[in-house]
Amino acid sequence: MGQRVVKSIMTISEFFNMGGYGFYVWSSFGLTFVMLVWQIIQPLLEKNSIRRSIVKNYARRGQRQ
Amino acid sequence: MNIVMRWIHLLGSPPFFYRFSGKLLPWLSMICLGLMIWGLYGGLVLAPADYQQGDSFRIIYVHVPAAWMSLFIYVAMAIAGAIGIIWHVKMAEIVCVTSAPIGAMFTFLALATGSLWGKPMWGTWWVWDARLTSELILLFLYFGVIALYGAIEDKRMAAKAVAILALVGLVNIPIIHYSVEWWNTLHQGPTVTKFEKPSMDTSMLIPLLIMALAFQLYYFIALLLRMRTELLHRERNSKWVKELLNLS
Repeated sequence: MGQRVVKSIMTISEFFNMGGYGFYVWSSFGLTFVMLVWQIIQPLLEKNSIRRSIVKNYARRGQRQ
Repeated sequence: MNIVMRWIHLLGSPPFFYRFSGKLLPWLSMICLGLMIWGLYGGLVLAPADYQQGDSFRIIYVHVPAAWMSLFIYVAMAIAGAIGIIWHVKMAEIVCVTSAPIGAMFTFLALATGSLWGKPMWGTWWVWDARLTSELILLFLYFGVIALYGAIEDKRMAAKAVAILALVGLVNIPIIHYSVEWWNTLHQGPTVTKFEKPSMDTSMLIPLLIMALAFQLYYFIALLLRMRTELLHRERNSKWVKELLNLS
């Protein structure tokens, strides 16, 4: 039982170590993750700012009339 | 056939497209996320280490799908551009211009993860071989499309110019694909897209195909998000946008 716990801890550290290639593997996956998330967030932020500017323009036109 | 034509016609209407894509997006996102988790678990945990490259081969699970998408999106962009020019379909123009930043991202990812794979395997971050150079040219083509679209004030005119540039750049696509066969490259030859059986074990191949499917779906999601943003911007003075924002 105790041995099995030690073994599973070993595999977790082995998992992050990636046979010595940890830096290259995790940088690749990390970079991909960050870019994929940013690609989703960016158009959403842009859409919100367009929405705000449409509402603002409409309000300004309304005051003039 | 009639139903298909009716659907295509409906999707060409901005308010319908905006509402329909809004309903579709949460479902697509859930499926995409599920596929990614499945693919990552299969690729990072279940698949055994490669007998030559050890665990570094796992970079394939982001590198290859990203590279495939960089080519696929370019072709999709050029076809949409052609449809926009020939039949004056506004929605096709929007697909063309909004695909560019997504394609550029995948091209950058293919190059960056390739570099991170090349360093431990080849001993260098970069080499001017045919595959890497033609992929870098693809990145510049995407940048060219984005810059050209931004530089022309009249957006319908800009979309036409962009479509022509995209169509001209299409010659680069077969060059990238066949570069590893035509030239003696440091980059390895194809392991999946061969007519014979892929030279990869099933336990390694299946997560790769799942990741490829997830990336394909991701492109569709990112495309819908960008198309919605572009539509809102282009149609900001129209009645349906005012109704959408409760401004009437």
